[in-house]
Amino acid sequence: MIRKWKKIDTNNPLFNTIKMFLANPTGLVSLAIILVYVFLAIAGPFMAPYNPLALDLSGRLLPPSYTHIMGTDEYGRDIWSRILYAIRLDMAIAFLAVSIGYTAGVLLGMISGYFGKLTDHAIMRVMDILLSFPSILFAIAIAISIGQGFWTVIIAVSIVSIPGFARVTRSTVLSTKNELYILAAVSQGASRSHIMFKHILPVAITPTIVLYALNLGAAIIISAGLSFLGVGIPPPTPELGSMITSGLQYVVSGQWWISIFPGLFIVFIVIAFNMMGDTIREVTDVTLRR
Amino acid sequence: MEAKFKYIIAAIVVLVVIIAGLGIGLHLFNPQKSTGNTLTIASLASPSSLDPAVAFDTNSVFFDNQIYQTLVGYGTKTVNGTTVGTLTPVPELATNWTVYSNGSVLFNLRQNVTFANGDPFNSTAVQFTLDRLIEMKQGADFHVFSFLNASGIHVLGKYKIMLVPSAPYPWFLNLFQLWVTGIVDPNYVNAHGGVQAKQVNTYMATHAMGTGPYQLNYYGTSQIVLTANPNYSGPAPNVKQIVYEIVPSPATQQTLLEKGSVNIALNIPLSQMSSLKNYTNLKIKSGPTSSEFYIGMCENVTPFDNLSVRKAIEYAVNTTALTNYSTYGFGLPIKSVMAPSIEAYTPAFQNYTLNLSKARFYLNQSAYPKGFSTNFSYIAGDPVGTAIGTILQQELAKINITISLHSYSSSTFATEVGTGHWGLFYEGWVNLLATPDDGIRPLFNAANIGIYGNFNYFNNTTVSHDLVKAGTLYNQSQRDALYIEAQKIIADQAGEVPLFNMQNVIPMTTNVHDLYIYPTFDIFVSQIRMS
Repeated sequence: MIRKWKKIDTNNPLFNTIKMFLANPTGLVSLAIILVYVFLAIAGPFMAPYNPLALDLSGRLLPPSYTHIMGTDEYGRDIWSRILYAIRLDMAIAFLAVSIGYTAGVLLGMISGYFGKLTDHAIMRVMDILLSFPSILFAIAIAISIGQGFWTVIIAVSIVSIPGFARVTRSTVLSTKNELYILAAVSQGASRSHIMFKHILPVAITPTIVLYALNLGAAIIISAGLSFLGVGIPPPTPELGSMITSGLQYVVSGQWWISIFPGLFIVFIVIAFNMMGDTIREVTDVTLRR
Repeated sequence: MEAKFKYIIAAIVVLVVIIAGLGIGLHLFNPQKSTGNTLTIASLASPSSLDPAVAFDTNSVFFDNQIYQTLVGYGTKTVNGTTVGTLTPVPELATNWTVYSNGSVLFNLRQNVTFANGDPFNSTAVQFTLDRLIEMKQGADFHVFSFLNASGIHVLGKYKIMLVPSAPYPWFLNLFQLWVTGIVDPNYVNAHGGVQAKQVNTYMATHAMGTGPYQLNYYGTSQIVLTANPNYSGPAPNVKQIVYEIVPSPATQQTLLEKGSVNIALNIPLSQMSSLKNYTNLKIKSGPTSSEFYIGMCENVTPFDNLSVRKAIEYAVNTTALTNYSTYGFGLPIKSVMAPSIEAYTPAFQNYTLNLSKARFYLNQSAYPKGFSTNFSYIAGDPVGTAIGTILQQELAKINITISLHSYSSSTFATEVGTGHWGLFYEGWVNLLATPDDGIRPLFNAANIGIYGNFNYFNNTTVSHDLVKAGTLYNQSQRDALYIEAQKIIADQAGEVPLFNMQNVIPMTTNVHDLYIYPTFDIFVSQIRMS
């Protein structure tokens, strides 16, 4: 049987968007960086030359060398191996936390925007309260009240990301719900859930995707910040923020590699996510295209 | 025009920000250069209270040691050409004293001494100070009001006072060396809030009036300045001014010390001491203390109520290696539940050495032959505690004991450690009086279970009896026999895992001389000479 390849519809908006994204140098670079991180997150544990938790007290604070390409920390643990495991953890936290925040935020924004009136007021006032706190401080407060741990970080990061998604979704819903096709669907007796999820949600999603990408970078920073302050992932689990903390006292005495390498990995992935978010915004917003 | 006006405003704002930033930067990284008469000290935190009746943290005690004087001071001795501080009682505000057979002490007070404001020092001031301690009854003075009550204070003359202990206590005289008995000016206190039963005087928390070599000149949020007390009755100190900088970051403290911007840094991690030795403008002084650091095993928490489990842990931990790696050689391994310098210290009984076979044997004997999971608690940001927890995780994993590390702020830790909910924890005890009574009794007497010091919830009738009884005996050989018996039982019962006696380590610039290291972490700046 000869399988016939389906011809790509070059008029498909999604295809064109992806094409424009890939044609953008910023987007291409950000995608490449993120793909490298995803690869490291998946394959890292298999690539790690050492056990990230194994102590070697006779080999403490060794500088980068052939046997330890990023040196060892104060317990003799290989930093490159720990970074490989930490990337997996931080990427998981970022995607999971932002996805939870995204889902909750979009739902709340849709309900708020569609139903309006008291529902809208109630939901948006709660979002305003959440937004009035600086995200990192709010995340710290949540983490301290719940206690250290993986799910603490997830909960803290997802809660602080909800208001942004809710507000963006709500604004899109407000402008969309009075469109003629929506009114037509209403007049034809379509249920509210049908209208929200079949007609409004596809429109509301686009601006939130930009925010999703930007929030991934923020999630990494908040998660690293919580661990840096000692309220995130407890030791000895490798996490980029806690690795920076533990190495701080050694920077002054010249053992810079303990903090700098994890810090660089945070910098690159956050920049990549921000670049991706900007590029998505450019290619999806016709007013911004050059 | 409007746009031009906006640009002018923006430029002014930027200029102000730059100037402010330069000012802050200059202050932080280039404070007043230390002259021979100014000593600059960097510390992590400001004192919690300047009131000697309330102060309980090292930052607060530092100030009390400079501003106030006690009836009895701490002596010094020269060992191998090095002068070190001792706990030997020497005259301070009391010129001499007589100790009677019932433990009472008759003090003859120094005459022609005044407070910094000119108010006279006499026996009335001493009586007022001690009555105040007893009435306020804050945590800092539990040593004093445990053995002195108001009826035991007898003023026999303007410069003569008799103090009678409320219970037999061989170290009654030593109580009056503690900073908490620093003599305060009655007129000054009464003019600023007076004395309220079981309440703190908030004015005295940030103000001070003593007879000491220094007086408070400035109290700010990031800097506290003491200047020489012109009315001080003793020899004028070489250091005329003490600038106490609050530098919350140990790394910044290290930078400031290396540049010579501060003379002493109190909170540089032990891991950095070796790198400081490479600086020709710096030196490090250290000496043993009366402290004891240990891994606690709370018998109020399963499975630590099981003796076999506790013994398994004792045999699974290489305490010498743990000490050396976590303290970078500044911890002195100990083999009993108090510091080696303390009377009656007996290392013969704590015979647990690393032996995984024995550890597994005891674990098999317990109800947990396959191991168990538990938490290990320590103070957040404490590099030694963090290191001990991390290394202990690996060591106990070898006998299938899985520990999760949990760190807490120091205030939370201090509150929670005595609640009996934490099975395994890292803790330290500074023996302020350097006596076995202050070393073992708070940690192992059943009456001290909980927040009063016995965080292990150790409960043995013989030990409790021995510790209480020994603390009342004036005959040293009789009380030592009881302390030795107590140490044997504690070791047999695996009451805790003793680790080390921490040295007092102080890095400083080379122009600081004659800073004597005391076993109780005290610093007396009036002894220092600067070149």
